[in-house]
Amino acid sequence: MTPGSRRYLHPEAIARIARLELRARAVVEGVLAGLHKSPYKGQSVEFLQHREYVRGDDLRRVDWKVWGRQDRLYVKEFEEETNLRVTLLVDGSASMNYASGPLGKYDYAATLAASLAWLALSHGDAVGCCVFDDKIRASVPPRTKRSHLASVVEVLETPRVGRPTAFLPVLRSLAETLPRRGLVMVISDLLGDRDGVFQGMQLLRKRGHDLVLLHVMDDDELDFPFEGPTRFEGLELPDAIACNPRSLRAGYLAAVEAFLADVRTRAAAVRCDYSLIRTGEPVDAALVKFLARRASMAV
Amino acid sequence: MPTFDFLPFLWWGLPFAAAPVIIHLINLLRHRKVPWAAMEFLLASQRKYRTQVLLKQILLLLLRVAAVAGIVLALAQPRWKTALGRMLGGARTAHVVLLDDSYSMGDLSADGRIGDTRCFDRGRLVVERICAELAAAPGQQEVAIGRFSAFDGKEVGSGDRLAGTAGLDRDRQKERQQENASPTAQPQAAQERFDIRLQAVTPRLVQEVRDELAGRTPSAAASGPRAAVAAAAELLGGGTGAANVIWLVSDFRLKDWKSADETASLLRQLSDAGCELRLVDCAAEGGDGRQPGNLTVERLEMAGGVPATGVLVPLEVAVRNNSDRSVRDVAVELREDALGRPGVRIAEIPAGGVGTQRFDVRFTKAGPHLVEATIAADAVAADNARAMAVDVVDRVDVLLIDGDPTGGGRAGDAFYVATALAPGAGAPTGLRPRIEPPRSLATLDLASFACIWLLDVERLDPPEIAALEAFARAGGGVVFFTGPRTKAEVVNRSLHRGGEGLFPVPLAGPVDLLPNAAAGAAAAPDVVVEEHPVVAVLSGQRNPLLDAVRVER
Repeated sequence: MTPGSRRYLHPEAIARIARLELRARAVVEGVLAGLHKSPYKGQSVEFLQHREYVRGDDLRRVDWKVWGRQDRLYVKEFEEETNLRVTLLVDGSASMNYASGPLGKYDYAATLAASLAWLALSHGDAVGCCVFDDKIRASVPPRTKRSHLASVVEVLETPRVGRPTAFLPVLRSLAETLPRRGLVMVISDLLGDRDGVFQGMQLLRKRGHDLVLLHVMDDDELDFPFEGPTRFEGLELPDAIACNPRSLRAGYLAAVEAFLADVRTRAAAVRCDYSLIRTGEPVDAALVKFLARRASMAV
Repeated sequence: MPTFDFLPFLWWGLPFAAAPVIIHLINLLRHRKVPWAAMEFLLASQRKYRTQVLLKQILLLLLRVAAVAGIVLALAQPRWKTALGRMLGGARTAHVVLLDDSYSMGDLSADGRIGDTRCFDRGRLVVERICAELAAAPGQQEVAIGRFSAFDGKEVGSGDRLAGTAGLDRDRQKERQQENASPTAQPQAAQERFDIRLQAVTPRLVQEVRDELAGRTPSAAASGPRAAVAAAAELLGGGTGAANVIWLVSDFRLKDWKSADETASLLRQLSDAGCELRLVDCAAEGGDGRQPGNLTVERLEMAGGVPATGVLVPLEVAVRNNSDRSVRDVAVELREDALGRPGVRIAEIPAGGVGTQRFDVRFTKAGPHLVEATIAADAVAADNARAMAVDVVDRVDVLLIDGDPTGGGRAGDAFYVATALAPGAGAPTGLRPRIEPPRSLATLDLASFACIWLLDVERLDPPEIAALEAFARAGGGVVFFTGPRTKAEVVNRSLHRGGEGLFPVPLAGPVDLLPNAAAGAAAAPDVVVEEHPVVAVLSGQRNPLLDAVRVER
C-alpha cells in the first residue's frame, strides 16, 4: 500500500486513511454481498466447479450428464467475467477545499471514491478515475486489477490548482472518450456550473451510461451555523460579504433548499441516482446508506 | 421636558448611549474571516434581505441606544410634567402642601374659650401626618411643602423657626425681593420658596418635615393663599396632570376667601386640569359654635400737631373688632419709650367695626420715641399690639414773608400770624416763626424751614419765585394768604403760569361777601369745617370756638 492509498484508505492511522479502508471493507463484506450487479451480460463463461444441488437452484444449471452417471444432482458453477466499467469523477475545484471538520469536502469525496474503487475492484469490475475542475487534471483509465487501486488513489492525490468548476467540457470530453457503456459516478458539491453538470450528464445518459451523482456538502453549508460578525470570502467567486450571519441565515437556507430541490429535479430528469451526503456523516455510514438504497432499487 | 433628581447621572451617563454605535463600528473592523464555497447562496440572501437587514440593524442599534439612554434616564430620576410622560411610565404623584401661617393661624381659641393650641399647631400636625401617610402609601409619592407667607413676601418677623434666625430670614427676604424684580428668576425663586422642595417621600423626609416645622410660628402678616397657590401651580407645571394633589391647610378665614377671585380661578384651573384639591380646615369649632372674639390694634398714629419737645402731640389708636358681636369697654394699655403711661378705654366697638380713641403725648426730649398700644390677650396674640415711632424735634421753624413794605408792626398781618403760630410759653406749639421781607426768599437757606407763609405779597421777583418753587419741590410747605395788595393777574402770571407754576389755581380776584340776612341768628356758624384732611385738625369737638367765629364785612 502506497502512502497515497493510506491517506484515503487508513484515516485512523494517519488521520484519514487506514480506518477508512477497514471501514469500507467491513461495510462491503457485511452489507454489499450480492447487491452489486453488473447491468451487462458476460460474453464468456468459464467453468469453475460442481456443487451439490440444493433446493432453489436453477434447474437449468443442473449437470444432467453427472446425474446420468452418478444419479446425483449437481449444479455447475461458472466464474462470471465482469464487464462493468466504473468511472469515478471527483470534483477537485476550489470550492471543494472547504472544511469545517477533520475531513474537507475533497478529502471526503476522495475517500468515497477510494472506497467505491476498492469495492468495485474487489468485485472484479474495472475502475477508472478522474479529478477535474474546469478540465480534467488527472485521470487513470479503467482496469480490473486489484493493484489498480493504488493508481486510483494516486490520481486522487494529485495536487489541485484551485480553479472553479466547469462540468460541461469535462463531461463532454468524458462522453466522447469512454468507449463502452459503464457506470459513471460524479462526486461533487455542484457549486458553480450547475447547468453544465446536467447538460453533461444528459450527454452521458444518451451514451447509455448509468449515472450516479454523489452530492457532497459540508455541514456548515447546509446548516449555516455561524454567529458574530463574519467576513465570507469566496473560494471560487471573487466576492466577499461582511455581515452578521444570523441576519442572512434564513435567506441562505432558503436559497440552499431551493438549490437542492433544483438539483434533485434535474437529477431525476436525467435518471441519475442522486444522493446528498453531508461531510459530518461517517463515510462508512454514507456508503452503506447509498449502496443499500441502490441495491433495493436494483431489486 | 422633565426635570431630574440626579442630573449628573444624565450628563455622565448619556455618552454611554453611544456605546452600541461604537461597538457596532468596532465589530465592523473585527470580522472573522471565513473562506466560503457557497457564496452564491449568501449573495442571493444578501440581495433579497439587504434592505430588511439594514433596517433591522438600524432598528437594533436604535433600540440598544434607547435601552442605554433609558437606563441612564431612569438613574437620573426624571420628573415627568406632562400626561404623556406619566403614561410612559414616569408616573408619580406629586403632593404640594400649602400651610397657612398667616397671623390668624395663631388663634388659640378652642371649644369656645382660649386654649393653648394654635390653629397653626394643628395645621403643622396635619402636614406631618400627611407626609407620614404618603411615606406608607403605595407608588412613588413626592411632596413639596410651603407656607403662605413665604410666597407672599411677608415672611419678615414671622414664621421664624427660631428667634435668632429672624435676621437671617430678613436677609433672605431681601434677596427674594430682589429675585422677584427679575421676571426670569421668578419660577426658580418660586420653587426655592418651598420649605421642602419637591422630592420623594421617605421616612427620613418625614423626620425632616417634622424638624422643619417644629420651630415655625404663625406669621405676623395677613398672608393670603393666592401667591402660594400660584407657586404650586407653577411647580406642578400648570397643573396639567391627574397625579397632582394640592393640600391647602388653613383656617379659611372669611377675610382671606371672600374676595379671593383670583385664587378661586387658579384653583378651578388646576382642578379642571385634573389636579386634585384637598382642603384641610384647622380652625377649631367653639363649644356653642361661636368663637371667642378677636380684637386687632389696627392703627396707632399722630392725629395732627407738631412733634416737638414740650408740645402736646395728639395720637389716635384704632381697634377693630373681628368678631360677630360688639364689645364694650376695651382697655388699651399705652407705653412710651418702654415706660408705662395711663392707658385709654374705648367705650364700645360694634361687631366688625372699628373703635378709636385719641390721647395726647408730650415728649420732653428731642429724638426718636417709641409709642406702643396693647390690648388684652385674646384668641390671636399677633394683632394685640402695635407700635409707632415719633421723631421729636426741639422746634419747627416757619418763615413768614410779610407783604407789607412798611413792616406793619404790631398791627401787621405777620404779627398776627406769628402770634397765632407761637402764642407764648403758656401755649407751646413747637413752632418758631420768623418774619422776613419777600426779597429774603432769594437769600435765605430755605431748607431750614418746614413751612413758608406768604402774607399778602404784592409781587415776587423771578429769583424769589425760583427759590420758592425749589423749596416746594424739595417737600417744603407753602401757604398763600391773599389781601388788598394781592393782584390776581400778577399771581396768575408769575406764580400760576397757566398751571406750570407753584400756585395751585388761577386767582379770580376779590369777592365781596354779602351780609348774612340772618346775622342775628347765632345758630348757624359762619365757618364750617368740612371733612377734608387739610382741615381735619379743626374738625370735631376739639374746636368749639369755631362756632363763635363771625365773618363781618
